[in-house]
Amino acid sequence: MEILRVENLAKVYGSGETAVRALDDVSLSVEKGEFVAIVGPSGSGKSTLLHILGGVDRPSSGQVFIDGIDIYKLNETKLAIFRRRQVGLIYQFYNLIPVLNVEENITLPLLLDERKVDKSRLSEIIGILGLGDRLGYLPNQLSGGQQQRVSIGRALINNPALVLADEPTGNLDSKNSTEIIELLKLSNKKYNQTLLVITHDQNIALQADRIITMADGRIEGDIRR
Amino acid sequence: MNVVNKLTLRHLLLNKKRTLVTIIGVILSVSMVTAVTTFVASAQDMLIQDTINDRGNWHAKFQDIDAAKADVFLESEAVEQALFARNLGYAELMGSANEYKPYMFIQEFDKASIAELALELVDGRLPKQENEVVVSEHIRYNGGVEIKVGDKLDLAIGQRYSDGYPLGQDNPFSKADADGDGETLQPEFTREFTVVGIVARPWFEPYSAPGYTVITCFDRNSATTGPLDVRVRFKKINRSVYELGQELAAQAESPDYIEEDSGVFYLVRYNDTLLALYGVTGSEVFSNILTTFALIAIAIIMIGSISLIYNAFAISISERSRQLGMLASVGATSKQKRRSVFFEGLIIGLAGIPLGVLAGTVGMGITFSFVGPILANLVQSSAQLRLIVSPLAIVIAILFSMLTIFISAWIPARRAAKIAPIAAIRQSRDVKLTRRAVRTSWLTRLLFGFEATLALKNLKRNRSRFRATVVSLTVSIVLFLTVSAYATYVTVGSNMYTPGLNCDMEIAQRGMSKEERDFFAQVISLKQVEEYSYEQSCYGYMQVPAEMASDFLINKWGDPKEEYNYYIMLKSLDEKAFADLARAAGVGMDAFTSGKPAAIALNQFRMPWQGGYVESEVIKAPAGTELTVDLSSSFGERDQEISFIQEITLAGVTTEAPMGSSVWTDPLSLTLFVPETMFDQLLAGLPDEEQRYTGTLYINTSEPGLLEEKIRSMHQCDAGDFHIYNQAQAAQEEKQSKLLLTVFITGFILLITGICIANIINTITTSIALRRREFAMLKSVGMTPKGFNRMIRYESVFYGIKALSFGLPISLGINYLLYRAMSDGFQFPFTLPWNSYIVAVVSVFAIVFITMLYSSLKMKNENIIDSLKNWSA
Ligand SMILES: Nc1ncnc2c1ncn2[C@@H]1O[C@H](COP(=O)(O)OP(=O)(O)OP(=O)(O)O)[C@@H](O)[C@H]1O
Ligand SMILES: [Mg+2]
Repeated sequence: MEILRVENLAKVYGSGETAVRALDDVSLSVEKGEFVAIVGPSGSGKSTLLHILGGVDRPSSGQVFIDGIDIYKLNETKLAIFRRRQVGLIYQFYNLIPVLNVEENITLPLLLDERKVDKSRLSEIIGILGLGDRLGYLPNQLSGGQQQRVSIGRALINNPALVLADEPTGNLDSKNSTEIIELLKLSNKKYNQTLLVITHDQNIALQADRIITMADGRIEGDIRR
Repeated sequence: MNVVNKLTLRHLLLNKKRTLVTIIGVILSVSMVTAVTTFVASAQDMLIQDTINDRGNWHAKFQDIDAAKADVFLESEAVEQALFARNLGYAELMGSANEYKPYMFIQEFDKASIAELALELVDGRLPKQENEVVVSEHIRYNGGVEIKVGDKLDLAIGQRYSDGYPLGQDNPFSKADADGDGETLQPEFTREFTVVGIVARPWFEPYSAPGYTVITCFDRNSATTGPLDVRVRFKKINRSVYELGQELAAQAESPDYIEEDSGVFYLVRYNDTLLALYGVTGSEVFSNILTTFALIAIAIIMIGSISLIYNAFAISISERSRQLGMLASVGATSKQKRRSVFFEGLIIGLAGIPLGVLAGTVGMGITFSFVGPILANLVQSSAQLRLIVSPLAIVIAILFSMLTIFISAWIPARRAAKIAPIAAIRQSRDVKLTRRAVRTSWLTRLLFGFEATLALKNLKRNRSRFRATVVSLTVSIVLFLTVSAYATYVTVGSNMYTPGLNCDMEIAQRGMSKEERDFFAQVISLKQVEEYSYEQSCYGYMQVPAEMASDFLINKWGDPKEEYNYYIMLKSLDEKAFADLARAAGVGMDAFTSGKPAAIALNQFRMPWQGGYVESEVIKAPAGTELTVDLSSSFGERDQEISFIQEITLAGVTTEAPMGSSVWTDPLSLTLFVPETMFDQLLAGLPDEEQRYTGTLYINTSEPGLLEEKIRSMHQCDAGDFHIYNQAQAAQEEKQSKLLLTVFITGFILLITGICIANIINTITTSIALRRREFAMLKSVGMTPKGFNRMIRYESVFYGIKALSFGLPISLGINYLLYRAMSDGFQFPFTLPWNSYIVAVVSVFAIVFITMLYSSLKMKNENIIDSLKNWSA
């Protein structure tokens, strides 16, 4: 079953002489439960694509369908609720709320939804992320890797249908990296989540079901294994 | 410019809006300080003008200087102008009605004296030649001798002597006693003058002078004889004028000196009032009041402005801390970092101070053009409140403003100096944030939801910024409410107690005589008198049995008694006034023509009572009741125990006080009105010299000030039994001074509130701008626009609640103290300016909410990713 379809997506920054085509006519379709790795040189448009898929940026042209819904046709409120429930986004740079502690940052999507926190789900995630003894800490009291793990926790807490991760292991050592990827894979299998991961790490890319290679804002290669 | 300053400048330009708001704050602050100093300078100028108009434009006076020494004053470098005068002597004023003022006193003034000694021309012109004079109008009003412009005076002039000693204007007339010993006038020469003008009684004529002032003109150069009075105006006015005075007196060989152990001390007279206004002596009360007022106002302005400007610098530093940390990591010294803050202050000051000085001066100019006429009317003087742009006032304003900016920059500068390289490396801005600081109660979450918790945490994250905003709001609330309360108490107080007597002016004479009656008739004929009523009154007592006493007296006014001792005021009204009163009371005039004493009572009283006021009848008596009144207390000596009892029929009652009377009395006072003829008839039984009744003239006029002046100049003896009560003038003055005060205080509050609002806008805008990334983050994990608004709303509400929780109790406290201070004297219940309280509460929330909404609006519609990428915004 197709969960994600992108048609003729383009993103242009600036205009005229200095215009940068970050995305240039990208079309793509992803099946439910797929684990996709996106690779490519720096500046090739990977993050831009991911942001547009996650509903936090707007394309210059083209459409994004998630579960058959054209998400950029939704109004602000509906789009926000969609993000909250359907998407887990892990940024290249961790984006935590400085006044909230680790636990609150992780459960933020639930809090915004005024939903009860599933305690077992929370402790499962915290256990895997190894943040058990840091729950009450504020982001400024955490190391870079710990902050990254909190933002992963936040993306997974809600069991979103779509998990989008932008270099989730960029700041981590190899042991930690392996654990994080295992966590993402586990979640992907267990809840039949669709997982898109941007990575520069060959090992991680090779674990995926499908590798999409980008260059100059276009899809250069799309290998299914 | 070094690189640190260049970065500072760029930072200021990058944050244009905040820089602008800060500069506006500085402009407001500087303009207020300028307004205060300019006001002081202008008020001082007005007082100086007023004093000059009243007492002449001179600083020191030397008496009896030999004419040959006059050049000393003309040649002195320190003297700006010398004014010469010479006393010619006395001449008899034929037919003077004032036996203590039988002379004219003729003085010669040179041109400068005539121009500068504040002669107030009433008619004609000032003298230009030696045979021309002006005479004091006191000759006509007081002496009863008519001298008109154009009259010729042929005067035998000489000196007054008593026991061989010459006498001057300071020596009152000494009347010949039983032995015939008194002063004599010995004419020495005669001169002929033409009267060219009439002047008001001059300020230099002593109160009990025996001669009316007559002034002629003389040319100082041809005057080689006789002692001269020399008045001088110095070029520089400072403490050295006293030494200069001694020096000049010595050079001119003034005969007016005393020998002391330390040497000769010359008696020089100084124009102290004027010198005090120039600040030479510090004793003048008024200029002290002005200075005190100015200092208090400046202190308040400085507190308000420092809180604003400090805040602006603190914000700027916290924003630049990453930049400064980065600079530190590449080797910027503490000094360079500290300087960058003062550089910021310099830029803000350079932009704000000149504009502020300009705005303050122009603002005061505009204010004066509105207030000036009111004030001129109020002080009844020819002096004008004009805008004085004094360099000193501006320098003081600039110094205070620079001090304000310097103090504001001090702490942020020290903080900037301490910023370490780590600040640049740490990615979080809130390096010092602790868990305890942002702890919130679970109750908040339960009651208001997650957005409220987040809002509260946001407030708590930056304590100093939160505090600054709350303090700004609190100061505004307190100032606003205090002034409103003040205005309320002033009006409540005056509305309750000004009704008084319903006329504009009242002239009263105790112990009327034939002359006084004539004088009253003279007053009535003045053209300023538009309406009048003449009344005679005397006092007495009456025993009133309990059944006739008012219910109020019996039930509420102390213990019930068998009999009450009423205080009676018996008043006569002239024919027309009495006829009006009788008509109002519904009584026919024939009740008063039967020959039997009859009166109309004002049977109504009103007085302050238990926090409000009570209004009731005075006596329970139907028309036709016989009243037995003892009028003896008005006559003879009190201890002589004469009783003078009269039976008076109560013809009718009224509840409306006629002109000159008032219902504001007490429950034991009854006023009885009778026609004039009946009043005379009632007192006829007493010998003339015992008739010590009071005559009162009630006048309505639209020129109370002028009329009072006229009457005062007409009245011969200023005995203690004669009084003028100028209610209209007093009421007008009170109203106008209240208006003036309100104008200035309102302006002051508006500007101070302006500073506070600028501060609030600055703080809130910045704290929102700093959270740009965070907002994007919240949106990216699915916060809806509605949730976002809710969070902003909660933050506003928390700000407002916090500010009100300080502001309202403080205001209440101050209001109560104000009430205690102002209700002193008259009682009125404690009230609060409720409307203002509501306005304050609503505007606090409105200001905060609008500011927050405005500053977050842009962010709400911003692209999430743009905000997130803009890491160092
Ligand atoms: N706000 C912007 N304005 C102008 N150009 C931009 C903007 N954001 C991104 N770009 C450009 O768009 C292109 C794609 O950027 P993108 O962040 O998607 O690259 P990336 O593939 O994620 O690179 P990396 O692996 O280094 O993270 C880049 O050339 C970048 O310079
Ligand atoms: Mg990227």
